[in-house]
Amino acid sequence: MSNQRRRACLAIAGIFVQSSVPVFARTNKAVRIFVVTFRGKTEVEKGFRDYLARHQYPVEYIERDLGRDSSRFPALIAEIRALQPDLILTWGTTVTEGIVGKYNAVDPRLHITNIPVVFTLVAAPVSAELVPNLISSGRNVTGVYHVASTESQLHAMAAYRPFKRLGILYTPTENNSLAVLDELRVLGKTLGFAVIDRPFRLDAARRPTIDGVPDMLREMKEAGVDWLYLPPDSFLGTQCKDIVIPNAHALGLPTFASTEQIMDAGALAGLISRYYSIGQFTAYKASQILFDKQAPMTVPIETLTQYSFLIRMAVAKQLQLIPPLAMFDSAEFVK
Amino acid sequence: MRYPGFFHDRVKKQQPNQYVLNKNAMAALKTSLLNLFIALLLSLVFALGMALLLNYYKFSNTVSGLVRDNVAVAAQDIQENFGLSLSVGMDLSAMEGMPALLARQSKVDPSIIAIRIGDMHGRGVYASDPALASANYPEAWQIAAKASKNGEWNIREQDGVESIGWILRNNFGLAVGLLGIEYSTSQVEASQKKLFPALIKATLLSFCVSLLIGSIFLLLLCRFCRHVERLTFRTSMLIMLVTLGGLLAVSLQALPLFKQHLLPKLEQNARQSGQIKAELIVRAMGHGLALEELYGVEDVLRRDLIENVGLAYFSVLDSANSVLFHVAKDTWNGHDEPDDVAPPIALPIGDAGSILVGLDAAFAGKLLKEMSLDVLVVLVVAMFFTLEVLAFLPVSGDRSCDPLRKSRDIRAPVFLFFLSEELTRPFLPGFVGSLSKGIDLSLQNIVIGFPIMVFMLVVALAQPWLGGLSQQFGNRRLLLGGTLVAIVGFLVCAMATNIYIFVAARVICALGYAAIFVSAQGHILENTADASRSAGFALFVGAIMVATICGPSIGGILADNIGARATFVVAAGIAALGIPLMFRLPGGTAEQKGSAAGKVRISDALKLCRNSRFMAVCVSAAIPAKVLLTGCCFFLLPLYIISIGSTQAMAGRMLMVYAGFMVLIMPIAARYADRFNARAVFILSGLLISALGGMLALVADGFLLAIGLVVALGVGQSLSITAQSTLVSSVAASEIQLFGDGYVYGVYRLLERMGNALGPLLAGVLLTLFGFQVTFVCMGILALLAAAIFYWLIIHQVASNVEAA
Repeated sequence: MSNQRRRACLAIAGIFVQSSVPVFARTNKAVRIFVVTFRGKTEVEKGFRDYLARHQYPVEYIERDLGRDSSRFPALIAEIRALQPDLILTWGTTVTEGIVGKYNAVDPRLHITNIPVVFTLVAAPVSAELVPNLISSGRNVTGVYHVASTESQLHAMAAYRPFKRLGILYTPTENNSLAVLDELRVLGKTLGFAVIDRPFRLDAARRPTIDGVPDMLREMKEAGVDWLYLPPDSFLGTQCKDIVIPNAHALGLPTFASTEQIMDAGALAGLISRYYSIGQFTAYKASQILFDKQAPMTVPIETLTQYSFLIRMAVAKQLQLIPPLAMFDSAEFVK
Repeated sequence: MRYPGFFHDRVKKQQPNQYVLNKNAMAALKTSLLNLFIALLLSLVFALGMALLLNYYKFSNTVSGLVRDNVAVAAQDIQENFGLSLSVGMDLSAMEGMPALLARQSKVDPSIIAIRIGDMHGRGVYASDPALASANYPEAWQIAAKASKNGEWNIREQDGVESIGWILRNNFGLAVGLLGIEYSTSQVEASQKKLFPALIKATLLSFCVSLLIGSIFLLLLCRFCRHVERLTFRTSMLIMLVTLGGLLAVSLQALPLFKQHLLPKLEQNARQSGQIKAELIVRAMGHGLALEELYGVEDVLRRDLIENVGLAYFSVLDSANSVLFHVAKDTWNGHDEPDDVAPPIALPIGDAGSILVGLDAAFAGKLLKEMSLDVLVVLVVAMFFTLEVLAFLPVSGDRSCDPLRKSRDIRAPVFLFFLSEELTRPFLPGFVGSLSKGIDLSLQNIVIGFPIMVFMLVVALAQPWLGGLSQQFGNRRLLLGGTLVAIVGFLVCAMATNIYIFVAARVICALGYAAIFVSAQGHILENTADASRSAGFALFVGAIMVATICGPSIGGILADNIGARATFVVAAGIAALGIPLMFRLPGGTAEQKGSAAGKVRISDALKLCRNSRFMAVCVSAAIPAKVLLTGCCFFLLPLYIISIGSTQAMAGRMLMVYAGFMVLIMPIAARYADRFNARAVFILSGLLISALGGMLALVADGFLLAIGLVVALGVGQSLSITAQSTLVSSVAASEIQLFGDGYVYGVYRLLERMGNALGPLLAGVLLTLFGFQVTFVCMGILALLAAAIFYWLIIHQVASNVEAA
C-alpha cells in the first residue's frame, strides 16, 4: 500500500473518535450547519470544520457574520427560520445571547428554540445567564466555554512569580467581569493575596471609556501590585493592545492574559485555550447532537482539559522577569 | 456432628498439659532436645528463607524500577511534542517531525528496543524503526491501556522484554492514541544474576551461625532448666531471639551487597537525570539568557531530588567552577564520603558551566528500612510456627499418658492445610479482578465476589453430605482425599486463564476444605472421651486460629513478590506437606458416636425454624456476623487496600491484625460472657462495635479507615462469636432435648455459612452501585440494624417476659 493511500486510510479510520462511534457508517445526506460569528473568521471555525471533515461527516455550512452589529439579529433570526438548518453554531457571548436569549428570559418570537444551538468561545456561560448550570442548559442548547478557572489562572501566575497584590481592570457594566472580581476576592482570602481593582470609567450613556487608565495603572504600581490580571472582559479586550498593556509594561507591571485575544495583544503570559482546540471540541459536541442523536440538554457545557501556558520572552526580558526554569519544559514561547 | 464453636467457652477450663518430672525424665530430655533442635532449624529455615526471598525481590524491583524510570524519560519529550502538535491543529497521522523524534528518543537509554505510537484501534502510526511504523502494535497494549486507571501501563511481553506505555489524550480529554516503549530487561537479569549467589552465601552464613549459637543455648537451657513445664516457653523465646538475630545478620550483610550491586544502575540514573537538567538549562539559555540569570533552578532540581531515591544533591557550577545553584536532600550530611559511595557525576551545560549530581550513601539502608514491616511479619509468623512445631513435637513429659495424644496428631496436618487456604485471602479478590478484565466493568465487582461466595456456599452445603462419606470411608481417607482434592484445586487456580476455570477450581478447593473440616472433627470425636472432647476441639480451633494469623500475612508478601499464581502453587505445596503426617492417624471406619443425630435434613431444619428466638439469633447475630466477615475482611478489605495504592502484603498484615484480635479477645470474651451470663450483652456490643468500624468510613478514609475497620471487626466479632453459639443452647433448649445438640448446631452452622456466602455478594453489589466509602457505611448500617433487631427480639422480649412473670 502506498504511503499516500495509507494516510488516506488512517484519516478514514477516524483518529479522534472513541471506539464506540461507528466510523464508516455515515449517512450520505449532508447536514446543514448555520454559523454566526461576531467579528469575522477565527481559528475556532477552522478547528470546527477540520474536526468534522476529518471524521468524514457530510456537512454544509451557511456562514453569517454579525460584524459587531447587534441590530442585525432580527434579520438573522428570520433567515434561520426560513432556512431551518440542522444546527446553529454561535460564536461568543453576544451572538449566543442574541440567538437563544438568556435562559430565564427566552422569547419564542425573538429567539430560536426549536433548532439545536451549540455555542463556542463564551467566557462564562453561567454568569452570562445563557445556561443555569454547566451540567445541562435545560433547553435546546449546549456549548463550550474557553476560559480556564480563575483558580488555575492564579496558580499559573504564582508559578511564574509568587504575588501578594493582584491588580485588575474591568468594565463595571459587564456581569462576567463582576463575577470574576467577586471570585478573585474570595480566592484572595483563601490563597492570601489582596485585590486592587479599578473599573473603567463610564460615559453619560454608561458606555466604558479608556480615560484615566494610565493613572489607574500608576496607582496600582504605587500600591505594590505584583501582577496585572486581564480578565475575559469585552471592552478590555479591545483596549489591551494599544493602551492597557503598553502602559502597564512601561510602568514595570507584568500582565497576565485570560484569553488568546488578550495574549495576542502583547501580554507577558497567559493560561489560555487555543481557539483551534475550542473549535474542535465544539465540533465534537455538534457531532454528538447531529450524528449520535443526543439531545442538546443532555450534553454538558464543558471546556478543555488542558490549557496552553504562553510566555512572551521579549517582554519577560524587558521587565526582568525571567520565567522559572521548569516552564521551559512545558510553556509555549510566543513573539 | 459437633462443631467447634460450641466448645469455645469450655476450652479454658481444662489444663491438659500438666506433667511432673518422673523417672523417665532423662530419656524424655534426650528426645526433647532433638525436637527443640528441629523446631529451631525449621524456624530459621522459614525466617531466613523468607528474608532471602524478600531481599532478592526488593533488589530486583528496585533495579527494574530504575530501568523503567530511565526508559520512561524518553517519553517525556514525545508527549510534550505530541500535545503541542495537537493543540495547533495537527492530526495524529500528520506530525512530520515525529519519526525523527522517536528515533532520537530511542537512543536515550540502551535498553530501549522500540518506541511506537498507534491509534486507538490497534494500528501503528509512527515508530522509532520506520519499518515498524504502520504495523499493528501488540494487542496486549490496548488491553493494558484500557485496564489502567491513570492511562499508564507496564507489562511483561515475553521473556526479557517489557513495555511501558501511556494513553495520549487531546486537550479535551479524548483518547487519541497510544505511546508504548518496548525495552529489554537484560540489565535487570544481569544484576540479579550477580547478586543472587552473594545473597545466598550471606544468608547461608547467617543461618549456620544462628543454628550453631542457638543449638549451644538450647543445650544449656535443657541442662539447667529445672522446671520441665517452663521449658516450652523458654525454648520458644530462645528460638525467637536466635531467629531475630539471624534476620538482623542477613540484613547487615545485605546492606553492602545492595550498595555494591545497585550503584551502577544508580549512577546511570543520576547521569540521565543530570543530563535532562543540563538540556533544559541549555534550552532556556537558547532564549538568550545567561546561566546566572536563570530563575527557579532550585525548584526544578529539588523536584527531581525528591523523586529519586538514590540522589543526594545537585549543584550547578559556572565555567569558573563556582557554585551558582545548589540543592541537597535533608539527609545528606554535606560532604561526599569517598569510601562509601561513588564520586559525584559531572555533566557539561553546553560550554557555560556544568551540573554535579551527588549519589546518596544512605539509599541502600532506606531500601532495607522499607522491608522492615515484612521482616517483622516474618518474625511473628516464625514465632507461631515454632509454637506449632513444639505442639507437634512435645518437648516435655511422656506422651503415653496424654488423653489428647490422638487429637494432637491431627493438629499439624490440619494447621498446614488451613494455612495453605489462608495464604490466598489477601490476594484472591485482586487476582480474580485481573482474570475478569474482559467482563463488563459495571459487573466486575460482583464477579470478583463470586468465587468467594461460591466457595462459602459449597463449604456450607457439602458438609452434611461429606459427613456421610466420612462414615463410609473413615476419617483418614476423607482427610487424605480432601487434601488431594484441595491440592488439585490450588494448582488449577494457579493455571486458571479465565474466571470460569477459576470458579471451578475454587469449587474443588471448597470440597477439599469441607472434607478436611468434617473429617478432622470426626477424628477428634472418635478419639476423645467425653471429658477431653472440648480440649480436643480447642486444639483444632487453635490450629485454625494460628493459620488465620500466619496465612494472610505470608500470602500477601508472597503474592507481592512471586505473584499470585506462584503463591497458589506454594499453597498446594504446603497442603501437600501435611499428607505424610496424616499416615500417623488411625485408618478405617470407627464406630461413630452420636453421629445419627448430627445429620441435618431440610425437613428437620424447617421444624427448628419455627422457634422464633432461635431464628432471631441466627438472622440478627450469626448471619450478619458472617456477612461482615466475608464481605468486609475477605472481599472489600483486600480490594480497598489495593485501591488506596498499598500492597497485597499490607492487606495480609491487616487480616493478621484481625486474626490477632480474635485470638486475644475471643477466649477472654467467652469466659466472661459465661461467667456473667451476659451473652446477649456481649453479642449486642459486638455488633455495635462492628457497626462503628463501617461507620468510620463517614469520617476517615485510606489507611486509617482500613486499620479502624479491622480493629473494630476483630473486637466486635470476637466479643460475639462464642456468645452466639452458647446463646443458641438456651434459646433452643427444648429442641436440643428433642433432637440433640448436634442437630440444632448443624442447622445453626448451616445458616451461619449461608451468611458467609451472602457477604461477598452483598458487598460486591453495593461496591458496584456506590463505591467503597458508601459500601463500608452500608455494612455498618447492616450491623446496626442487626443490633436493633437483636435487641428487640432477644433482650427486650426476655426483659418483658421476666417482668410479666
